[in-house]
Amino acid sequence: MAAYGNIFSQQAGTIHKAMPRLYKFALVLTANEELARGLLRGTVRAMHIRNEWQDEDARRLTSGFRRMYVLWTAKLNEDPGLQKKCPPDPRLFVAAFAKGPLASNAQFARFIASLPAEQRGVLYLVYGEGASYDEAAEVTALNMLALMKLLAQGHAALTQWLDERGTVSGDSYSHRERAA
Amino acid sequence: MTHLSDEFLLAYLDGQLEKGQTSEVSQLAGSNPEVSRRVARLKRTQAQLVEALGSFAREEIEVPRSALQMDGAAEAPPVAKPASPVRPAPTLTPASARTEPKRSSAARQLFFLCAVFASGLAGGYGATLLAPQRAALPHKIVDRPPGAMFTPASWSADIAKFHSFFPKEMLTPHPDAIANPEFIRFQLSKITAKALTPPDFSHQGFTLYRGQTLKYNQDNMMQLTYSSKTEAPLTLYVLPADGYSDSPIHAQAFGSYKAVSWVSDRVRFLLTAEKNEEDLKVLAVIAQSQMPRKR
Repeated sequence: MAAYGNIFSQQAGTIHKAMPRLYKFALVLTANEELARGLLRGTVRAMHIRNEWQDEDARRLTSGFRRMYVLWTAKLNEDPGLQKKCPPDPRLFVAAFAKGPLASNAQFARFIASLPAEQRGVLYLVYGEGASYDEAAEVTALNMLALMKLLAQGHAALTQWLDERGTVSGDSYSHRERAA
Repeated sequence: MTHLSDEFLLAYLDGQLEKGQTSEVSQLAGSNPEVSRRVARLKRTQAQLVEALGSFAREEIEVPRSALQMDGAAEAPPVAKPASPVRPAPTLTPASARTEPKRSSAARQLFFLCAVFASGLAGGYGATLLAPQRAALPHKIVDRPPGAMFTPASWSADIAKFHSFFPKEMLTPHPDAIANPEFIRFQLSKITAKALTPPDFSHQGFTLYRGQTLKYNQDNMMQLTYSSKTEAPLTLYVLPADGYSDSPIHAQAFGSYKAVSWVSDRVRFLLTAEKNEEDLKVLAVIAQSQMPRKR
């Protein structure tokens, strides 16, 4: 995992460069293109109002992620039925997943889209953006234990999904577990 | 250390543990089939998530221009290619953060600012003419006798003072309080950047039941609370000591609280309880003896 971490804080770039990453985070959080556009727009505006564009590059990106996460959770609190009105769209992830050698990418995209937004967000920060736990906790304002629980729950959900699909290979851990 | 949670094993796989802890888990995974099986299972899901979410993160994406429109108030960064026409996206800014579009011209804004400034000046001066003479202000802080001046306390006095604000009920174990020694250890190691284990005072009748992270100035600080069936709780504060040299055990009192503090290998410790100074010193020595030796 040595080459994997630290992309998050080291990668410098202008806000122009950061924008696609913010947009992707919005897509991950909302799993809905229309909501993601609105969320990005709200984040840009909120950062502008708070002069957070002035931050140095790495801070600005963290601020952007954090502001976006705050806006999204506030919006969900305001309107708990939002995700029902604008349901997650797995097609947003299919194209990216299709580039990898994963089997059944469309189903996997559906699985990712079906996760709770909060869980999808932290999994993306850690495994997509390469954020450390500290950085992910800063973005989500979760305490470390809550963050670790969310990550572990994401893994557990994935294990269960793999088990149900029977895609765990011949030496299936879960099959052995069940047998035990 | 065989009862490791998935959270802790995941932190190990994600490279979030300190070196010492990492090597301990590696050894355990090598020798314990149960741990090894769980690590392998998590490694598998980790690989899948890294691959899938990593490829999503690396994917080139076009940001819709409509998402960047900010009513001309801010400079919207250019996008590489014009996006296909899309209907305007709803803005998710909460009501409190929303602002009305600014329509007034720059000249009108300037005129308004000048008017406000001028009226402020005139009003302020007028107020000084109308207001009655006030009584003389107290002396500046530098003129006061030294005894009345606040002197910056040492870190140990600060923390002892901070501790005195904790009511006893907050330090007394709650039936629902969950001690997660593994997680406490993880946090302690993160805060001190060392593979530290909370001291074990079980032979002295104290059991670790809670650890929480607090802030002291710019540093994170761990508050470890130990409970006893017969005595008042014992609290140990642990925080990094960058810039501090090692110091021996030093006793102090803050009100009815007694505390002992020391610095060892770039970590500061403060132990406090309703005990006499000598007892606290003994406990401090026990804690010191359980710390990893300097390399």
